[in-house]
Amino acid sequence: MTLLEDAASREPLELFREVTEDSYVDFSWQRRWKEETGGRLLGYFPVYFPEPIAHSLGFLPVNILGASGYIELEKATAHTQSFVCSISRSTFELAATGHLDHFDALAFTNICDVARNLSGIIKRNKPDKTVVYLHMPINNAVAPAKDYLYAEYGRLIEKLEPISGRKLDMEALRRSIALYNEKWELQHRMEQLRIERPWLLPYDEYYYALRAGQLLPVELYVEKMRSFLSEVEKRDRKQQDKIRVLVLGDFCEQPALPLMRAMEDAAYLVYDEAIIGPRWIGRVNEAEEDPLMALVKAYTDNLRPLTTRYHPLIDKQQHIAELVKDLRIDAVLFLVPKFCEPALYDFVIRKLALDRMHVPYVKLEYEESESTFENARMTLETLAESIIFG
Amino acid sequence: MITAGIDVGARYVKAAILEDGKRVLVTLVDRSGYDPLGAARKAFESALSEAGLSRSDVSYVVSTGFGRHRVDFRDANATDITAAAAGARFFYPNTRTVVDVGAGNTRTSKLDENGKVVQFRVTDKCAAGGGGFLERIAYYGGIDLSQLEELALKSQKPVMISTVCSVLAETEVINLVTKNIPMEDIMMGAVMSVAGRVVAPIKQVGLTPEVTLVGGMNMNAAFPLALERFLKVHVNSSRDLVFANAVGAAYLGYRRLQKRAVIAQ
Repeated sequence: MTLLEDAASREPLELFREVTEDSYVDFSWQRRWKEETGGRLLGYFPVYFPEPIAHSLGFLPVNILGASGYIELEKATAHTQSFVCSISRSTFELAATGHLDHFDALAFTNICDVARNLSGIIKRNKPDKTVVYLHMPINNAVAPAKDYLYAEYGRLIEKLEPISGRKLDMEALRRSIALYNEKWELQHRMEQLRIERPWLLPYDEYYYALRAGQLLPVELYVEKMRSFLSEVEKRDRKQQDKIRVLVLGDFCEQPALPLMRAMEDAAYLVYDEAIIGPRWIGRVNEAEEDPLMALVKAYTDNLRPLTTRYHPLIDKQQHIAELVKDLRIDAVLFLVPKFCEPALYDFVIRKLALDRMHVPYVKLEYEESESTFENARMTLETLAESIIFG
Repeated sequence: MITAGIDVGARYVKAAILEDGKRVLVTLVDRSGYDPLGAARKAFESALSEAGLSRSDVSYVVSTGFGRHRVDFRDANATDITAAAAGARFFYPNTRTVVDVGAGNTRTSKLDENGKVVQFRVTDKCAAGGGGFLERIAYYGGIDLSQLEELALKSQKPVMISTVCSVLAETEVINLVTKNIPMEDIMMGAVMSVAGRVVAPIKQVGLTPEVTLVGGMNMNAAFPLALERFLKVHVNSSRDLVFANAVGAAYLGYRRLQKRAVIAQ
């Protein structure tokens, strides 16, 4: 049985869980996909990458999200400082220990200084590997930003075409955009389900389903996701009297699933920023004459805040005020990776807005190697109790 | 209005049914065993049956204790700290310091004049400072746990068990037995040993009378006596307080329903 035949026969959640757990270290699913289909693999570091470009060139775009504490950081400790975030250290460890060797290209964007340097360190240590560093525009409100990003995507395409062995076909790109739009619709539907009826979909199932979207071929994922959501929507489960919590800060490095389960013991986590990039980009305009420009505009004209992107027209304080109101949020959990400067900058901006609105919040820091979560659970649970029983 | 509290502890599950936040209709206790959820369900069903109620008569269920998150029929869960505070105040409204010695760990908390927890400490290293320690000592001494209280209360010259580890304490108990130390002095020594270890977390939160002891150690009258010797203040203790956390959880459920009613108006 081929990998895709096997995947087709599997229950969606079982497949989502398996590929997610496989992606902590091995990416053996993707390796087998490459062997069986002859396709190319592109790994990209968070937060956002224009997946349809890679897809239309025959790549399987795969989100590299660190090792989630599953490997010892030996080489990373020798090559990187101890005061950088654990996702960058474990991603380097994965690369240095050969776990990313079957990827034909690795891509990074300018989300922070650490990601920028990580790209350089991997390039230097893996000279045979194609490493693409995408400079996304800093000021997206000015007119040249679109032309600039269009050229930057052009540079990406030039790097990928020789590996792919084919030239970018605009019609193929249009079809890829349509497929990724379908994926976005389904993830958005799941997001809405978590907002409206979080008791139907436990966090870990939601997370597996979300993360698998960055690991599986989009065609397969869309099919499995459709079936998964239909099953979830039919569930009959008891709603508990829990506070509704907005989680912010987990947009890049991934909190350990046991931590999130512990948090969910205390509250309904109705919205978070896990794997936010593909959700943030939204629906790309399929009617745009030039599909590459459609991708560019989806990024530059997007007025939803993203921690790793600056846009002068976005008021992050107003946005969090709207989120709290629209999602009927009782409290905010700032879940901030250790040493993550973008998350800490946004924490200050957002907390000021919450202070003004008298919305309670707690801030917890995490890193990949953590394994005890009782204190974190107790912190959120205590806050929840003060709201429910206070 | 009927509310229920289920306290799923490491050793025992306790259930309480409360009427209008005032009258305790039923309390019961059972072993948690290897299936805390199954034990919680069984305890709840038994409590309902004993009270002559059905599931639909209960407006709100709050779980607490070590296994609180496993209780799938709960409406909400409360930490042991919050449930113990509510339970202690339910039985002794002037409580300002709560001491909850469980099988596996000990929790102490300080309450303000309104019963709100303002400080707490949890010991979580091992059973050395908890009821599990006394279970082990009784076992090593070859007596049934139910005999421990009676024996300890007869003691004239208690011998402190010095080790902080309940496993290593076995050697110490054997040594004491071979030295012909009377069993009642060994047992009271063990009780005082646990009480002595609870003093530090009480002082860390700030000892403020009234002090109320909640949980299973209320089954052993020697323990509050030992605690009083260390603290030099009266310690509220009674058999009812074995169920303080379950009753507290049920009371929290009652308060939640009241709050909801206010919000709805």
